[in-house]
Amino acid sequence: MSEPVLKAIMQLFALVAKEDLISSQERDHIRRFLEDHLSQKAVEFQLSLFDQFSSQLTGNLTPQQENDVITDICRNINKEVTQKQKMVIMIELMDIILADGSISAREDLLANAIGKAFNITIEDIEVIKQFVLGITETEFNSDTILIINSEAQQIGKHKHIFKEDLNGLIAILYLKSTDIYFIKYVGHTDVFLNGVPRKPGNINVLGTGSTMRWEDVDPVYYGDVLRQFKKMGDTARTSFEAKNISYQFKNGRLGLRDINIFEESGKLVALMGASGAGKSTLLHVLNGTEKPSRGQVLINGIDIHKSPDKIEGVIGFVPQDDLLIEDLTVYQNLYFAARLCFSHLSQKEIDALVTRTLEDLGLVETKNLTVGSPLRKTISGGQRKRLNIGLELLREPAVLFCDEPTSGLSSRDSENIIDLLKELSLKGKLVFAVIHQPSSDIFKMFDKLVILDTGGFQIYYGNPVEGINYFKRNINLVNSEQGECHACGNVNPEQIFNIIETKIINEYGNFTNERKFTPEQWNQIYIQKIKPAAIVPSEEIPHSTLRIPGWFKQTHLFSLRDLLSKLSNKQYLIINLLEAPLLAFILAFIVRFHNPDDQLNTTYIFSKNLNMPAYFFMSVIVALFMGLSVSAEEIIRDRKILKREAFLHLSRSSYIFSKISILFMISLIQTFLFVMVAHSILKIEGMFFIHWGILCTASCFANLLGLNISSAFNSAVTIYILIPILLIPQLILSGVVVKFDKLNPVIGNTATVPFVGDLMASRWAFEASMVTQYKDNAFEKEFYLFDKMMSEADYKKIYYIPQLESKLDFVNLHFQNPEPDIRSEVIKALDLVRNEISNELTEVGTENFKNINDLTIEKYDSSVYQKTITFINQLEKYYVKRYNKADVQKDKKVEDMTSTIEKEKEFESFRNAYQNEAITELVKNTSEAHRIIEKGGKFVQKIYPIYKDPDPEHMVDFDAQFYMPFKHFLNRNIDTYNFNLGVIWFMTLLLVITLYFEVLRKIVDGLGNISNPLPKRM
Amino acid sequence: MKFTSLRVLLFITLTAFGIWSCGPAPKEENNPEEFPPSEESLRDQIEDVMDNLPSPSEIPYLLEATGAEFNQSLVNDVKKVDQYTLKNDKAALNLGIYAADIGYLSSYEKTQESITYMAAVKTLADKLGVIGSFDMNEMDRFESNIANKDSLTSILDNSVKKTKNYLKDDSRDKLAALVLTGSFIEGLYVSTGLIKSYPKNLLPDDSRNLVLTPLVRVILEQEKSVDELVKMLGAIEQVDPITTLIADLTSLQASYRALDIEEQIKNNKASLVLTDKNLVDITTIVEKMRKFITD
Repeated sequence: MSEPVLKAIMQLFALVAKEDLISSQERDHIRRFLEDHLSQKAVEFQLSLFDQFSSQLTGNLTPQQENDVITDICRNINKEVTQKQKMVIMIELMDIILADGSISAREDLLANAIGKAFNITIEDIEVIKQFVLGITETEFNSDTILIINSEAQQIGKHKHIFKEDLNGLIAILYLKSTDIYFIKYVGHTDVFLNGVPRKPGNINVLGTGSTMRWEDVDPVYYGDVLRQFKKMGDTARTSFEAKNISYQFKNGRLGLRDINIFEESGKLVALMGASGAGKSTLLHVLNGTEKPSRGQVLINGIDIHKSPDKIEGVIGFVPQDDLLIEDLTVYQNLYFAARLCFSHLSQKEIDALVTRTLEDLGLVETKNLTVGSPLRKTISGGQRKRLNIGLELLREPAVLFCDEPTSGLSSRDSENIIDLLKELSLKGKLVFAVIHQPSSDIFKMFDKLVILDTGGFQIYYGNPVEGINYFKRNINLVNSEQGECHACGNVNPEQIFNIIETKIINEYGNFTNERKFTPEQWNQIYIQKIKPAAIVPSEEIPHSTLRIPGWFKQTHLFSLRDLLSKLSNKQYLIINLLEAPLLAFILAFIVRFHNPDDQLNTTYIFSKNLNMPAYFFMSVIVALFMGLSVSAEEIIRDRKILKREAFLHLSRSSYIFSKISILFMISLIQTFLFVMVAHSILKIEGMFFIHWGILCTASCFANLLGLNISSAFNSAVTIYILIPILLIPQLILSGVVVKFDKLNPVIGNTATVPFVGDLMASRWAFEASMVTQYKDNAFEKEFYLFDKMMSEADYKKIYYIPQLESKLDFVNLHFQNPEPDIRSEVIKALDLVRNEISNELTEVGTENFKNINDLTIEKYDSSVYQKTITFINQLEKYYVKRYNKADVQKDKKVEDMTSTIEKEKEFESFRNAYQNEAITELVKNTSEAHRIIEKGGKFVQKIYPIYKDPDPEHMVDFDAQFYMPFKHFLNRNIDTYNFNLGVIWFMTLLLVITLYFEVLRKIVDGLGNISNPLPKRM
Repeated sequence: MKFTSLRVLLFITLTAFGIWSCGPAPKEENNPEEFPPSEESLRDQIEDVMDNLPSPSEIPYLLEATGAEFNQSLVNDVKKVDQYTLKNDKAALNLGIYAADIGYLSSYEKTQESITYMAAVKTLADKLGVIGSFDMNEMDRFESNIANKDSLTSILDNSVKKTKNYLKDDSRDKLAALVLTGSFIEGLYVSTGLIKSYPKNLLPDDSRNLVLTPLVRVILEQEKSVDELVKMLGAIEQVDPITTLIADLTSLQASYRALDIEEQIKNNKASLVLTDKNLVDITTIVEKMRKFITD
């Protein structure tokens, strides 16, 4: 209060007191008021001022003049004094006016005039008058006054609390307009307000968290008073009972021991305890996330752990960490939370709700600011915390749990937040909050306090301020009945912990590490001294505000939220959009090879680019890389939000679906840009959509891979370490870097792609690129069938038939040899010859070789040999003819296409635009030295895989050599492009399932739970 | 957990996958050959003729032996190989051309060029579907013997022979004949080219003739081969380019006849015949044929 204001107040006092002669009573009154606010020296000075003013006012003033004087003085006061303080001044003035026990008409006029100047309503003035004057219960007749006395019956409109052993009465006035309480005691009992004796008749402000006690009766707490006046919300009563809760950690350690809490709606409950005492564990057990090993938690009689569906939406939880989506604005954060909670509200209603919540939170100004990360802040820490609570505040759950809502905040911010929670509790909600080192004001705002000690022992449950006394008493501290400092009204919650953890002093007077009272001892004392009062469980069905939207709506909201947050992150957006074309440019530019010394082909020609396979390979790797890196952090970033959403029973599948669809969209765009740039640089014709399809598929697969690891591991660093582990096998086992038939024989056979290769998306994607480019390009399409026929015949006549002949020669040479080793060789060779010939017979017709069944060791003789050789020779001729026929046809076709010089030129550029030499060589595998091999009792063709038809052993056999044009599956041949992409999509789908069921996470957790091999001492 | 929603997702994906994988089934070509195949009459006479023709390295070897200097501009440009891969006939003819070029190059120990030309020949052999004559093994052998001229020529001749035999065995006589034709024409072309490009004023006529005579002799000695060639080509199907080649070869025959070499030698007028002036006709025809083949 400033000097001029005080001066103005003194003038007012003088004016009022002067109405009748200034009595010593009045002067005492003013002295006491001043003493409450000023030092002794200043009091004397002000009193002299008062005397000076009153003597100046001797002359009689007309009411009009008086009014003017009042208005003048009050204008000075209004400038600097809050309404609350004005109310205090008003009460003081009224006390002075009524010091003689009566009010004259003139005094009444004066009081009203001052009230008007102070903007205090007539009603308030009236009730103040009543309050100041009243001595007996009958004199109070207003619902803003609470009477506490030992009369069981209540007379009049006022509120009433019955307490024993109280002489006279305690009156409490509540002024709603300014939210202030005044207390006055009339009687002869020693009533202590916050441990300080009350002088009967004095009026005081009733501070937050105050306690009134007398005799041995249960004290009256501030909260009790509050609940009389504050209209509870319309919500129904909720009962909350935690009975004998014990909780055991996975490693067998007890986290909580026999905790009991009984509360009902309208309370703000603090959970305190040393760090590691189990506060957060308790909170998690109480909110239903962790199951207690013993005991139960009941809300309105419903066990929340047994029937969580019945209390869906009843419980709210604000974890310690931020739950905010950093790239969205404050408004958007609340907006999406609201949309996800209230499907029944219209857009307009949601907007109104969010706006109201923003007002409640005091965040209206920051509404359109992006939340930002804790490192790159755009809104303050306190605002973040408030917004966090706001997410729950939106839906006003019946029971709300907050884990350290004030940690890391300034005292002002902390107070704001506890104010918010207090308000919520006054609306009829039950609020639990874990707090640390609360300030005096905050501490006093709580209705109840639960203290846990190390090891999960409950050592206190009751009124907070009372708690300080309780612990003081237990160690016989002086002044143990005074919870708060009577001079300043502050409490020191730290005292509690100082007492709990008092250390033993050794003989040298130093503190030891040993505690004077162990947690068990405190727990024993608690059990003896405090009996938590059980409450009547509410019968009602718990009220849930939650209306979760349907699956599609949720997916839509999740997607929209994700999209908005991605769009608002400019850096992310630009990098993601530029990454693909830039990489495409780098890659394509580097591999754009042409021989500058070549006089005939001075410019770049697609056909001559030796690096096309390398380009296809790298593009697949780029697609995988982009897909993986864009998704690897997605879920880990949302982990906390997910936890909250799981709490709300939002659908995980819609979350996943929205994530996937957005990522797929990004992949679609990225690969589109990539293919566009790369294909125009490399002049790849007619493969745009095909290659886009392949890369997009690979990228989508990588998206899912990324999402899986992102949901399984705890930190982004781990994930970035994992990326090479995932990608390098994709590189090695793609079939390019190392050929599949040149792998370590432990992992691969030489005939087909090994299983580990089949697991690699890169292999499928790369093979698809190569095979379709070769097989389906416009040029090769014209000749593919001829080429296929020719290469088949070629293989047969050059490699296959000579091999068959030499097998047969071997048999013929040794079939009479009795040596067992050789004999078994001969049998094997005969089996092979018989198998192969019968295969051939299905081609040319079984009637052409009748001796097939004689090709066994028993029936074999030289005549069989002769017949077989004849047949084989015929077979060779057959293939020669076949070859020549196709060759002639093909040549004729080419002839037709090149009949004139112009056409020939055209034909040549047609080929140059579509058929790449390097690809051709790879898919024909002509550089392979072993063109036919023997494997598992048959010959395997290694050359010309691109023309080879699948040779399945059973219905689902899709095992194939690399670069085969078709794959067999379920008795049909599927084009390699379709099949390979199908395989990748199938793997993607598997990853969707593992993601949904968090398989990888469970495995990782399972591995983590295997007992720590390091000795405990470390 | 909402299993229903997952099921929806699963269903959608499976359906999509199903629809998409049921793309057009590959059409299977089927034109069965009769079995057992009908026997073709082997034309033994062709085989004989083929064996009588000079190997690709023969003429170049002779040229080198005369002490003539190497002339790079006479060999066919290796970069033109791509043009020849369109059609079988062209590929076969130019395979012969390049083979002879390799013979010429390796005779003069132009090793790097030889290897480059081998690669070109391999390309053409692949086009013809001739396997085993110019494959990796042969290439490796060629490269590892690069320092030994004689080995190189034998490898080259062997490869061409294999090619010829292969084609012949596969009843592709025409292509085999074309390979041999190409090789022969190129040999002749290089020989005539050397003479044609020999500087006119550098040496007095006498000494010039002294240098050129051995070369001219090499060319004139090919008369018999030309006859054999005509015989060989006459035995196969008369379609283009065989007919063109036969026509040209016939006029070549005529030019040879006009010189009446044997008669002249008999009359001891050899020195008259063995001058470059007499080769104008032959040179012109050979150039024309070579142009026909390589362009």
